Amino acid sequence: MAATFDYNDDSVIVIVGSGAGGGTLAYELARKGVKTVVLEAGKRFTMADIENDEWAMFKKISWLDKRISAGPWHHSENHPNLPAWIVKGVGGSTIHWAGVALRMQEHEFRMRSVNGDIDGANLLDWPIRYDELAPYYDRAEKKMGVTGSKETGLPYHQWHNSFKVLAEGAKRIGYKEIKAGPMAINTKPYDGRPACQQIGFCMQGCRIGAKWSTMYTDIPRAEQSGLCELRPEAMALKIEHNAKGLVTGVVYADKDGNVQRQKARAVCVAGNSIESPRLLLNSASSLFPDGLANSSGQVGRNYMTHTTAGVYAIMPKPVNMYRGTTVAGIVSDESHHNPERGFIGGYKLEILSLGVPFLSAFLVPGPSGWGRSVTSAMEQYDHMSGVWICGEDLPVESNRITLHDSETDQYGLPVPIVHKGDHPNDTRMRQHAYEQTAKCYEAVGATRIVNLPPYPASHNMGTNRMSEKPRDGVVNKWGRAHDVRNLFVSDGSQFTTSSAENPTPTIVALAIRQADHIADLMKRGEL
Amino acid sequence: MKTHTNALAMSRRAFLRRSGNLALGASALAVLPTSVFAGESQAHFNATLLRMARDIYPHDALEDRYYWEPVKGVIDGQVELLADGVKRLDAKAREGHGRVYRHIATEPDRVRILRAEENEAYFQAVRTALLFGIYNNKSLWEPFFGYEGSSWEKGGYINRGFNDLDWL
Repeated sequence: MAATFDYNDDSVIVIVGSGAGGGTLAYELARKGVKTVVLEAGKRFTMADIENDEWAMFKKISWLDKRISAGPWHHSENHPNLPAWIVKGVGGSTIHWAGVALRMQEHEFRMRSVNGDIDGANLLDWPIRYDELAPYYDRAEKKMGVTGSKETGLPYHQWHNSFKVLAEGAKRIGYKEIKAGPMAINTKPYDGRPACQQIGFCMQGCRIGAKWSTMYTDIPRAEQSGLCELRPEAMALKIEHNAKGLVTGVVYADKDGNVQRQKARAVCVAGNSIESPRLLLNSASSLFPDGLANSSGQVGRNYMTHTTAGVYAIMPKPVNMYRGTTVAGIVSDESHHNPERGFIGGYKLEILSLGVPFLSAFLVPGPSGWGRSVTSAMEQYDHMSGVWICGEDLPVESNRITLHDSETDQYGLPVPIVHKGDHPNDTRMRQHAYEQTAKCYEAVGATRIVNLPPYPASHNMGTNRMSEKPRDGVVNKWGRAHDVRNLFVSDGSQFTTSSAENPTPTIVALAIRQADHIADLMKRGEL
Repeated sequence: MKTHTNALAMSRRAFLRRSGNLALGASALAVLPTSVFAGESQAHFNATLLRMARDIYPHDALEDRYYWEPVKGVIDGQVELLADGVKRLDAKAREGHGRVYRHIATEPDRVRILRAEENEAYFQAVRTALLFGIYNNKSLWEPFFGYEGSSWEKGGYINRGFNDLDWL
């Protein structure tokens, strides 16, 4: 029986966002007996809303509120209003994520200690270590149903056609770390959800629920506990605080466009890495002139997207890469610490299949993406195998989210400006990755290789980062704001560095751990 | 396991081969105000846009109608923008080649003019319409590109060739 809480009930914890961070947190808090109100800006979708159609789902579930791409990245020209591709809906970006379930590596929590200061970067160690997070990764893998994990016993996926091509090429050039996972996609029935049927539209939502998403796991379970009220189409506008600098509630626009105020004992911000800092900046006051919890000036800064790119190889015979999971194929040999290559940090090569509609738009993105070089590639669509390069990008202070000084959106909020540019380390890494990917595909006879620039960012991190010292970041090792004792950040904006791994399992692990901590603080009377 | 083959794979491009001329039936055309065309005919306008569309996304074996339908959609909404665009193209073509754009014989020469125009609003309107009109056209997905599309209702690809590659 779903709960409903009064607007003036200040005993609830308000969570902004219902994705990997907010959704997990709501359920894990419910398991501890903690009441929550989840404000989700997007709609509630059902399985019947999920279609195997790239553009239909893009229009249906993507976050398309006005955003502005700025800075040196090509998005400023080619994707001026789509710096990031994330979801607006109950379940957040767990609806459309590809399901890659990697843990961060031990040294990646300590990149500043390992590498020293890097010119032009704002490098910092996380205030936690892998060993502290390991038991929470175990719980995350069990929750999500991760293949290859001892927590689940789920086997890895069988190799689909596209991965067979990459894997053979990788082997021929001497790579060894070649696996169809780990993925948070069932290979056997698990947790009441069926096994994968290689549908091939993972990033349009999993129609059968084989892929983990809070949409059909943690959120409904939280609601069924009777301790969580989820309010869809509730756009957080501002977090309010009292004279003591403690948050008191969240002002939001409800589904009818009316402004409401939900009181709160604590607020957890999990709106993904553009909306979360935006909300804190929009919550500026005389006590917090630069934004709520922003004495460090780091709110919105250190925006990371991973160092990414795409590669499509045309093979001499058919591949039919669209048949089967979008990813489920990972080569990890270049993801380790090896500065002899000329850059710090590592990268993964991950299979990525796009359908004809998306590939035609992203092969050469922007106004110049036309002509025979595009069409000759599209005519070889069924002979293609493709890779997504995912590597560590360095935190840079000028890569940041800011508020437009005059333009506002449909809620009356200043439009966010998303500024990013490469650090030279990112550029060198990407170049290396393009070359290595080409070698893999050429080793199996590719007749043509097409290099793509980065896609709109589906990994967004760092903009409310964790730090040991308050002057270096926004939150502490628990995601608790340095400046505001009852304010937490619960999404990927906490990340101090980006690592070479896809962020979702780390977000989920941190949320499970944060729930334990919040419950503990409440029990001790400290929250 | 039986290898799933696309039965049309060998001939899919053949059955869509275009007939030859850029011939458009009168019924396919909207009746446009002649005042939009200063001295030039509507036939020239239509033929120019079709030539431009086929130069933007050249698929030699694809019939004209797959280009014309998306272009017609842009004409219906923005005829003056396009008429102005045609004038621009012809002006550049006359300057460089002494003839209108659609009569320039070689594709690279026509493409060079289009490249110089690619940031213009009329060009992007046509390009965007084609991007969706051709590559998001479900009737072309399998026969022309070999892309089988929606699969959940057929049980996915787990029994329909997701790992049938045998040539490595």
